[in-house]
Amino acid sequence: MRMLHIACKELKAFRDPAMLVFMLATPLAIMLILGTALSRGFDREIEIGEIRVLYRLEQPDRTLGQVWSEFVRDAESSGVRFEVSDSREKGLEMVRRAEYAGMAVVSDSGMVYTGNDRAAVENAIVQGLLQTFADRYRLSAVLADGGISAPEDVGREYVRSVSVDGTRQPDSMDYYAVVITTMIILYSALTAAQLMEWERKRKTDLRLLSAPVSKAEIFVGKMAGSFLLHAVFVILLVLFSRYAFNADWGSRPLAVLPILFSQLLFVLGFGVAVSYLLRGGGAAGVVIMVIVQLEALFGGAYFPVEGSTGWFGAIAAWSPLGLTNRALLQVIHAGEWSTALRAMAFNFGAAALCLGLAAVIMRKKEGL
Amino acid sequence: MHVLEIRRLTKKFGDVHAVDQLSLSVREGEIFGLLGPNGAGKSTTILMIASLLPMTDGEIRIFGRNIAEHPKFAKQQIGLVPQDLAIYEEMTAYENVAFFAGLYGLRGKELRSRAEEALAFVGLEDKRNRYAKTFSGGMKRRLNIACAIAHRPKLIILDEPTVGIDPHSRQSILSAVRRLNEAGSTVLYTSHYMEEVESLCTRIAVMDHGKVIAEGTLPQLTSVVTDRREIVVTLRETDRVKEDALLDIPGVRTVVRDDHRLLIETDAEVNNLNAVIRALTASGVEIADIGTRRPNLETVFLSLTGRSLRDD
Repeated sequence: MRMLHIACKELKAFRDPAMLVFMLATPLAIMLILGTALSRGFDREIEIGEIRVLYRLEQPDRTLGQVWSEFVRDAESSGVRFEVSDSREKGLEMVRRAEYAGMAVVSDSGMVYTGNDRAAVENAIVQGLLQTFADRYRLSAVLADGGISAPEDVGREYVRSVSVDGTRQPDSMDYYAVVITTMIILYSALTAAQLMEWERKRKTDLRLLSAPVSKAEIFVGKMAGSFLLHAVFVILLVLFSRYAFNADWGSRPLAVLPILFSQLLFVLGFGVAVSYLLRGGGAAGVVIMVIVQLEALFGGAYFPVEGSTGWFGAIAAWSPLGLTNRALLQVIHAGEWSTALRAMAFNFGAAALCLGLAAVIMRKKEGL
Repeated sequence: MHVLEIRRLTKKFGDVHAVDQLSLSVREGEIFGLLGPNGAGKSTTILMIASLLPMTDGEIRIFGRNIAEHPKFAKQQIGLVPQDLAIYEEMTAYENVAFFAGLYGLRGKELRSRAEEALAFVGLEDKRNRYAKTFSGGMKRRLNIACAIAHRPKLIILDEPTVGIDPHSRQSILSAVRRLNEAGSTVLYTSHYMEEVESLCTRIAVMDHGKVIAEGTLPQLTSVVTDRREIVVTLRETDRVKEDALLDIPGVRTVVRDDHRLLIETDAEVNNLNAVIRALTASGVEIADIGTRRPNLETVFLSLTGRSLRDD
């Protein structure tokens, strides 16, 4: 009960104008500025080089095989190289890895084209060519059958295209709504580092400790209050960016909250642990600020880091913020939860470690 | 009945004895004064009583119970007014008092009425919804007290509660302390202002270098030095004072400089006032004021330690 009393006191910080500016106004302004100013960066205007496509002919009749061979020869002169695939599974895997733009499986009953969405422009070109092939094949089939007309809609239905992963690419506002929210959560580490420091500076630690309340109750109460306060800010950010900026948070925006809350718990634990390890004061703030800035950079808060190579890509791949961002984007745009579960497991584990460490140091320490 | 009993209390910081084998007891209904210069060990003692600092050795009992064995019980009985302001500036006066009272288990209607009562007690009832950051120094001091009394503690510890405030607020605080005592609370009051302790406390312990060097009521303490009197000289500047010349005057025991004052302790039966004036004039110093006074706590401290209470 006394923990709850302490937690409720922490929620009063919601009235602090500086807090409201930092936790709400600032991130919303950054989302709006970056989401608008960098929208061209998400337009994917790319230079098209040689397009590589796999294909498999499955039980083709003579006419189909002949027309297909002619088509492949013609396509090469247009910059699209068709290569035969040993098996359907291997071919699809290579498409998934983006080694090929797509794979066409051709048979008498029709054609299925599977493209990688990261090569959307290339796929559009290939699909156009395949449509041309379908028209040509229909004509050849008519000629081969001695003038008997084929159904008129054969060409239109002959090519059926499917996506390899179905991922809808976020536009700039969708992207920055997510990464700025997680970046602001990251900054909560600074608040957490000051949680006990503020009590010491204001000498209210003496009053707290002279009351019949244990250190553990004070610690849990303050952490719970801080978590609730920041959680409210996170919910407001999600809802405001969703309804005011039309940012895409998926069909059920509140479903992403567990991921965001797991990150928040980790960040608060991290802040308080660093504060205890460095014995509070300015040093903890400086260290956290440096880490937050680097994490924001490598985690993709300023620009997308997906596909980065070299040393930058290597660090980005290990960024906890990057993991959370990837998890959120995959849940929102592909309904894919495997990365999210990994991110939440990491966040909760790291939070437990940090909070445990802080609790042990606090217990041994005189005062808070 | 003893509200507080301290036996051989010791606190060491490295090799330094901040509190050294201190023993004292406070009876129910008393206003007990702990007087001593800065660094005497008063605040360290207070921190140990409030369980904020572990003791190196000794024992503290609150209502007969050892605080090491019953810390929650002891804390529930105590209301601490720390030397420094310990309030949340971004919260209103009422929120501050209600928050700290809530730590003692008060809830709902009872919490609200006790918080209002505490604010009224220190004269801040009409400022209940104002943020503490808008308060003057004196008002913050009063709020500091209100935060410690809403749970109606049986023992109220005030650690230098009047430091750095105007005379009006000081009088208001001293009056509040008296009323708290009349309402049934036992008070432990620390200060290095002799006048406050003299006017307020029913019993006094004089501390120096972590030890109690004298203890008793004011008449008991001053009776130790009834054979002395004090000549207090206010000077324009004290640099040219020749202390040796003053100490050569018959009856003069000690000479202590205290800012622009000179405190000369002398035997009561020797009339040496003219000799003192002559010695000072010969030194070339300009006397702004001179007078004698009866023995008080400062005289007691001076006679016991050879130093003024205000010496660092």
